[in-house]
Amino acid sequence: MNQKTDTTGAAFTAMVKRNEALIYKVCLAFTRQRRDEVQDLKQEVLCNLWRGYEGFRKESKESTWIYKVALNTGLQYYHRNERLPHTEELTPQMAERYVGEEDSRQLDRMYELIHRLDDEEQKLVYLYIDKVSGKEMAEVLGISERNVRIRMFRVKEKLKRMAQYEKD
Amino acid sequence: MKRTDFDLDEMQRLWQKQSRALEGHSLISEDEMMRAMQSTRKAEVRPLHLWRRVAAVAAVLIVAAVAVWQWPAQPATPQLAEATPSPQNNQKTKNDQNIPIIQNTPKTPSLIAEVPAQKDVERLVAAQIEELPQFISPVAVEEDAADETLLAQASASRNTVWPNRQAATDTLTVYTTRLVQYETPKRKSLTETLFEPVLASL
Repeated sequence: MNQKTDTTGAAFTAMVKRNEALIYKVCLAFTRQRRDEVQDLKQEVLCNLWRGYEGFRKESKESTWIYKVALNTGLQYYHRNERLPHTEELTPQMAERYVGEEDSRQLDRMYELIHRLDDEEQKLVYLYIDKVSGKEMAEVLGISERNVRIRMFRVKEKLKRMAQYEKD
Repeated sequence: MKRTDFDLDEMQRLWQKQSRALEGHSLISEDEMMRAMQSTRKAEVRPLHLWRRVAAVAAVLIVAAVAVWQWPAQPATPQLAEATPSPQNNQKTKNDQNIPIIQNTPKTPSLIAEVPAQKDVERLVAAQIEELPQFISPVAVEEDAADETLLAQASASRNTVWPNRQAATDTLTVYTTRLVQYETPKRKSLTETLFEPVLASL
């Protein structure tokens, strides 16, 4: 590696380290917390981040850009693998869990519900539950803040209906 | 949260709990980052290969185009240019404007008739030109008389078997030179009468 690439690589590594939890959470969400799939998706996200790093102009916050890349990569990964059967119960060795078993199961149910939404709605929900500001959500999704609020309201209603339908 | 309950705030709480649990863990190793950087760098080399391929294809196309361009042109029927005056014609006399110009004179002999020896062709053309001396000085010749002679010549040429295109086009050139001297309407009718048999023989 030449000096320029070394410098870029070091900056990239530092940026990833600062945002590793963000990347990891997205990977967990789109892989049903399966350890092997988390590793695969994580590698894909890192590759895409590195590929786009030269073009990242730092006009927006780095977390905004990372959200964009990670969510898009996660959705692609999910759609590629959604037809594969995931019927087996995960053993503790197979699962990548950082919370208690009950919380982890609830997270699984939550992901299952979110994955029934369309792509843009899924992105919106993940940003919302990660407590991302309205402004940053608007930047990630490329829409206005007002539009974010409107869409969020609709998504909440949609999720409620989905949950109610399941209950009935 | 039970399976069928829904609460986005509960989701948020769980997600935040997970976020806190992730803190302090080394989630992405240096090795994973290096692997990503290396694999992507390899992929970046591809466009160069692609450009080389594009350059090779372009070179082949250029060579093919040059080869086609250099290929000897096939003999074609001489065509009369449109009567529209060109900038070159404008430099000539006003009467020149509607003179048909013979273009695309082929250099290869055609199979109109049996191809005679080159010397025979030259003799034939020279003889034809000699037969037309009265048109060289039209001032001395009455126009009608000149018309008659020209038409007689045309009539004679109707039965001529032109040995090759060169001879025919040479004759047409001679006719063209003569026709310059006539007024436009007459020249037009004479042109049709004179040229038609020669062109038909081609």
